[in-house]
Amino acid sequence: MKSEVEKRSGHKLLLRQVITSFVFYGVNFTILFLPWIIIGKERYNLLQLALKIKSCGLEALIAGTDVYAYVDNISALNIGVFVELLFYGVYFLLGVLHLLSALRKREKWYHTAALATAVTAFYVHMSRYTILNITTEPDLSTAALGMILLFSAVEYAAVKIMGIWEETKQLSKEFHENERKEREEKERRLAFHGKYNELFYRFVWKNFKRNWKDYVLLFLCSSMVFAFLITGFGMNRLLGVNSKYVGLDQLFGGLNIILMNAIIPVGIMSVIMIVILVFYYLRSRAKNYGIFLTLGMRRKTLWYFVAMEFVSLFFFTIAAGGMMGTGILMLFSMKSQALTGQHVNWYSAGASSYVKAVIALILLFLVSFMAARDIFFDFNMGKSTELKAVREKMPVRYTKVFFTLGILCFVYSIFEYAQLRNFENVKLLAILSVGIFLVLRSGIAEWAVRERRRSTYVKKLMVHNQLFHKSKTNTGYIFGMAMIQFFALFYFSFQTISVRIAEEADTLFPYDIVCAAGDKDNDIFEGLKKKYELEMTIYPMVRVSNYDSTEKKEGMRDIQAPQGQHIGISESTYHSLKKALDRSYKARSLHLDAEGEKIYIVHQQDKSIKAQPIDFFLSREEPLLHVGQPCEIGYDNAILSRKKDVGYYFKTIQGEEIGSLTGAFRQGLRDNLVVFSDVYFEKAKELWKTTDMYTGEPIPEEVEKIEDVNIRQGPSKLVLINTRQEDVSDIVSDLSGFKERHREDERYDASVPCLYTKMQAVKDLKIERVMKGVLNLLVLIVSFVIYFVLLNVKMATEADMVAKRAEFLMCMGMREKERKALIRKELLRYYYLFPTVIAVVLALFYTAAVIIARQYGKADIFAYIKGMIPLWTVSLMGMGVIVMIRVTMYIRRAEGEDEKDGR
Amino acid sequence: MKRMEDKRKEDVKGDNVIEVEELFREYTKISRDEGEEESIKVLKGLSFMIKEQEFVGIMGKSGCGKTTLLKTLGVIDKPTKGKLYFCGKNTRELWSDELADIRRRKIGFVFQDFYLMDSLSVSENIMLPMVLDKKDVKQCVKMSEEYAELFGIMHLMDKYPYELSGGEKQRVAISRALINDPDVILADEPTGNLDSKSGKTVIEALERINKEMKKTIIMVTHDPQVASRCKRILFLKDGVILEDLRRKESVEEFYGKILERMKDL
Repeated sequence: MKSEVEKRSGHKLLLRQVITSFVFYGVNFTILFLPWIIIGKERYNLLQLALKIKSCGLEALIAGTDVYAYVDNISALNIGVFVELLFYGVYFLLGVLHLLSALRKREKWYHTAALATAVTAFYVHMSRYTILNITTEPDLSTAALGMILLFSAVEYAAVKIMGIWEETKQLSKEFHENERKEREEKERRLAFHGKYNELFYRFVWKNFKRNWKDYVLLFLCSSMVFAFLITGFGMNRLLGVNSKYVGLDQLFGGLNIILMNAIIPVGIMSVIMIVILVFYYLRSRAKNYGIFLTLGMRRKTLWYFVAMEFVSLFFFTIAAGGMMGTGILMLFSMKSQALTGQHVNWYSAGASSYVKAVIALILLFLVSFMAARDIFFDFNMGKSTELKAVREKMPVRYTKVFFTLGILCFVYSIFEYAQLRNFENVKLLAILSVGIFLVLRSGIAEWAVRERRRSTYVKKLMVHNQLFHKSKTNTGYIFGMAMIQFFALFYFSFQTISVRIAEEADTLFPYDIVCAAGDKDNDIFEGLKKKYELEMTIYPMVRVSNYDSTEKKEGMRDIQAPQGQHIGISESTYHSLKKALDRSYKARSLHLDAEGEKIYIVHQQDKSIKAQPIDFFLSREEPLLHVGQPCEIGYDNAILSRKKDVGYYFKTIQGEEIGSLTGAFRQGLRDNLVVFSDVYFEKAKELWKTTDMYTGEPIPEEVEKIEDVNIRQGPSKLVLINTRQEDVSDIVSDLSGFKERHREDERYDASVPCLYTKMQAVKDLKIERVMKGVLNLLVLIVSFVIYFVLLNVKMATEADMVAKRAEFLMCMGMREKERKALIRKELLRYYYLFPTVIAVVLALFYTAAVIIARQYGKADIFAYIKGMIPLWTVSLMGMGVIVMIRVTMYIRRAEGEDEKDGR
Repeated sequence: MKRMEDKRKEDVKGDNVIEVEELFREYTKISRDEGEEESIKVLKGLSFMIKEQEFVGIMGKSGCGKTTLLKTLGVIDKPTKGKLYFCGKNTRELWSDELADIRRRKIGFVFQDFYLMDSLSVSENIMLPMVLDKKDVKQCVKMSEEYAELFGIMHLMDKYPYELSGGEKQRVAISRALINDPDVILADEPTGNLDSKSGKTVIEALERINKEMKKTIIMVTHDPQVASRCKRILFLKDGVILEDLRRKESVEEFYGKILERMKDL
């Protein structure tokens, strides 16, 4: 039953709504009947217009006026105007019905329908063939109808708001009342006034200090990782295309890529290390957190101190790691002149490198917290056992499924890694890491369950106990150690050894000077022939562009991917070039087609460069190529290039090889050889005459083709010169005019010049190889150091437990020799031999995969193995000896021999 | 219904410290062989009341749910089903910070393995609950000394837990449990890790606390000798109360009765 007051207020509201509707619709009806449609000198309202059209027709109405638009299609105009008039008629009718229902205090759908009609009518009005096109004052008609729409909308909103206004007011009042009550209840229930005394802070501090060593260890490792992150991001920026040293990476043979290839795996190793450490740290702190909570510390207070611990760690890490990272960048800056031939200021790394490193560090900590998330559920409340001593859950569900999944990850990763098109993508190694983790985690669990069922279980209990008892932590260690050694033995070793077995400069650069010339340059080269004693060979060529020359994934937001440029030649030229380098070469058909859909590629790079496709867009098996210099082609067009002609076409790779025929000047990134069939090449040579140089699209009309305005030939001759060394610089200076003439050719990409010299290329190659060799050897050593740190972390964190166990076993009557052997066996078997065997096996597989991808011949494989055997032997033996010494020291401590010796 | 609830509250207001109604506690575990989730019912619908100043023992075989019950009574664990009233308050309706306040002010814990902080000295361990309750420093020191004196550990005040014997550690834990003057002491096998002499000292201390300080004590124990000092024993078997035995006779006779009942466990 509604109260009298409610009823009265309801009436008032209704009255206000009716008045509002009448005011706005009154105005709208007035507008409808005002003469705002001006045709020639006459003025009409909508009704008058409808009657006029009915009486004399639309054509007669607009005859003699200055209305010209769309008059050619008078029937469409008739329909359009009729539809618009019909809409406004319906609007008027709905408006009237709405007012009538408002008077009868009934809410009907007329209201909404009238507004919808007004919107539709206005939309129709703004389209073609409407009143807008027959009036001589279109702005006036648009303004009038716009006002009708506006007032309809305002009326609709006003009436609705009035309806819900009271309700909203009531809700808001209730909300505030509830909020006040909640506040009061909170105060009543949780009142805990006053401040903690000084003892409280002293206790918290003492409790924190108890795990001081673990904290320092975590701090040192996270600082090291942060320094790596800064170095990585900073170097990327210093050497990257975005830095102010534009093109530095291009001029120096991809130093940036070398660096990033080294830094990414180190990053993966660091992540493993930091996750293990944070996990361990939290577990060791859990008991004391639990005591605080059991004795009644509020969760919020505890969270505050846990947060303080990690926030302080975070800031200390940023400070120390930041200084270390900056120091490394400064060192690089100091040595940059010697390393790259140009001085690079360390501060060019910019603030963004530091911001990125901080974000990466935060993510790293988050991942670690996720790994240790179970600790945060109840903080081990009411349990006095140390979490690090508690048995860890062994995965029991779907272990076989995960194991199979892990194996599949491995198989997929290695298969794809062996494919040239996948450019030895580091992501495939990440997939391998996931696979190996799954195999180890579920494999060890499955093995443990089976082992328990065997009769020999008890006999091997002591040695296997660690894997049964702490399966999560120890699988983490085994995985981490295996992957770190794998990266050392495979990834960094390959980079180091492949530099040593790479071709000599003479093989890589068979010609002293290589030019991409045009038809108009004949006089220059004729002149050179006369002036110098030289061997000059000229082959026909066309410029071939590929859509995407970067490993990065470009998306729709990138207007245009950076394109690459290569040298297009005919099959005959290819055979001639081969013959020129090897007299015994016998030409065999490359099976290319006359339509130019099938191509053969010569990746001009040395053996130390990773296998890579020429085009990274979509399918790397089918590069998206264009005959001519790069054109403007957006992502949308590129994606549609199979369906419509955009001047870029997907080609099928009939065959490919890695080697140098004209010179590996850009190490496979640019200026590779794209071989077409002779028949198609003849067509390709003429394509420039009918192709728009900006859009790449064909120009059908002969008259529209204007040279250097919308069509341009580009380089058409590949000039290869061998001469006496002393003449090279003179010839180059004589070619300054040639370079000037071809400045336009270099406009798109300075790293694809019209002139290469062997002298400069050899110099660059030397820098690149030194950098690559030194850096990878350094990282190889660093990765063994990380492994060693991890082993030490494991030993240090379990020292107490191992000592207690040794004491227990001593009491049980186990001989000292047996006790020592037990610790040694446990550590060496599971944390040196097992990870090393996994690493060696994986490294062998992936080494083979890279050998396949880079198409190494027998001699190369033999040379590689010759380099690999001593490096692996020294690394593994060296590491083994160090581990043995460290384990022996550890055993002495666990057995308390240091104390016995008085130390 | 509401009237019944009010009546129950009235009853509790009398002298019930703890009231348990149809209390269930379950855990979920993944089976090792089948890999399927299985629910383990530890407590299966317990109902009982504990009055002020009672000295209640909880006995039963290992795994029958004694410690789980104690942790639930100590509002560390939450019941899966059923009601637990602590000093008349339904713990289900309390917020987690309110439960923390109850643990800090109204409950004293004594654990089998002492649950002391190795990073804090004996005196600091004793005064920890007071410090967590924002009490004045002088008061904290005074009270910790009083209890240390009472339990004969005054000479150990500057030592650290790892330097103490089991009996000494347990006396430190008892002092800590009492320092905030709680209503209830919950003791989980307080003599379990102690030799018979130390065990005797500890049980005598608990008896004194019950008699002289008039505290309610709930103690889990395996030891019939220790249990015979209690005024009441709850025998637990497979998550249910097998018997609620009250002492009406001498300690020796009660001990005999307990031994009798233990055969059925």
